[in-house]
Amino acid sequence: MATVFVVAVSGCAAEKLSAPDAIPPGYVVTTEELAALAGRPNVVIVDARSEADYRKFHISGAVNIPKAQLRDPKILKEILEYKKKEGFFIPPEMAEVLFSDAGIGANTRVVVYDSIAFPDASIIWALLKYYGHDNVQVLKGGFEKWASEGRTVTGERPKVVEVAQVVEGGVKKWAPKGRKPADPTKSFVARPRPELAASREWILKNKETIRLLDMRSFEEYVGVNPAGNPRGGHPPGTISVDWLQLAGNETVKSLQEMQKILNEAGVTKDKTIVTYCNIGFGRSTYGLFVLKMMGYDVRVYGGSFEDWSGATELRVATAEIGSFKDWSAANISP
Amino acid sequence: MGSRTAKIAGLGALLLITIVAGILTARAAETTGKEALMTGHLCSERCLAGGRLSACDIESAVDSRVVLFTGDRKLYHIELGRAPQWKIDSAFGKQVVMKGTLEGSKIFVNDVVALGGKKKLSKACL
Repeated sequence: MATVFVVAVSGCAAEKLSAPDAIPPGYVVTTEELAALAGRPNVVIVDARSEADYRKFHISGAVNIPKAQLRDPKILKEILEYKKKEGFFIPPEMAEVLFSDAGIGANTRVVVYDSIAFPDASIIWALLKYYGHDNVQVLKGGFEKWASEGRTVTGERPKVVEVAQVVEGGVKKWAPKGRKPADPTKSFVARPRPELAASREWILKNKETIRLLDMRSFEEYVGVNPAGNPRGGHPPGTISVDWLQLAGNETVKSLQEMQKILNEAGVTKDKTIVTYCNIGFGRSTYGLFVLKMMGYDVRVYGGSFEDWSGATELRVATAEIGSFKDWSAANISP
Repeated sequence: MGSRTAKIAGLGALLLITIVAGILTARAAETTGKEALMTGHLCSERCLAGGRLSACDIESAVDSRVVLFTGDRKLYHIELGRAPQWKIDSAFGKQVVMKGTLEGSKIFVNDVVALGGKKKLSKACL
């Protein structure tokens, strides 16, 4: 009788989720695994770092898809409009040209790597997942681990994949940069998965069943650092987990460590988690990558805080002296 | 008869102890392991006792405990969680916002930032 009572009382404690036993397939590869894959047909290695870093040294055979092109001022207006409407950060026509030019097709296994300093590989991972390509993994430990193990790197035979818009017959088309629009028979066909993305409109419509997760630094979350946005802070009710706390120095910490951090922050599985950062790719896509790995129902907010803070009719929360906040108490409210 | 009463009394005491232990365990579980966001003044106990909140030097924490003094006049002792020591040092003596897990009067700090003094960061950092 007493035992039953004790169990019942203890059951009031906060939810503690257990981590999966092992990282499920389709998320990471080790340096050993990548070394065994190199040179095989139907394997494309993508270097997601900056073009400058790539040109200095990269893993032999890797193609470079730098993220800078996703913020190119020439296409930014169109990209922002697409994000606002669809909640994801590049349109399918652009993705098709980009990945086709990188040599990726339906039967390609893609391994993407970055520097552990920033989660650029998650951008490519999320793009491919969103557009229906599941056979993609991230190199655990990044370029630094590969190089520190004395594995071969080179600066030769670089291939930088960039796309641009050209006007052909009065119609805007995407094409590999400096070339004409790609052949109509592209190797990569985009099949969007809208269930991985969230627009502002979708967030407000579903606010009772979701939880926003801020993957930026605590300084940005609190509002001390507005990071170029019209207003600093975060949407009310948002949970903060700085991506670096999950990444450690090897792309991802152990599942148990990451689950502990998520449990402490109150990231539960009873709601859909929507990750965001400043502009909708990078730290937010890293959140998508990790939380999917951990078995959460998760989406990425393509517009991210740039979009939210620019919508002046929506509230933004900042830290105030003397306040105490229970994360679970607040809800998203316009 | 007396022996039976003693047995019942013993069982009753055991039941009471178990219930109290259960409640305490549950309460402890509610105050541990969950992250909270708090604001206040990060300083040493010595500065606080001397009323020197706004002029508290980090040297005062050498032989005095670091505390967070909140707006509702509560005092929490600071322990390192996942935040690196340098972050706590750089925010020392200032109004701060911190997140961490609470254990009684202790906060295990996972991150901290000093309020005021806006930094600039380009969106290029994403």
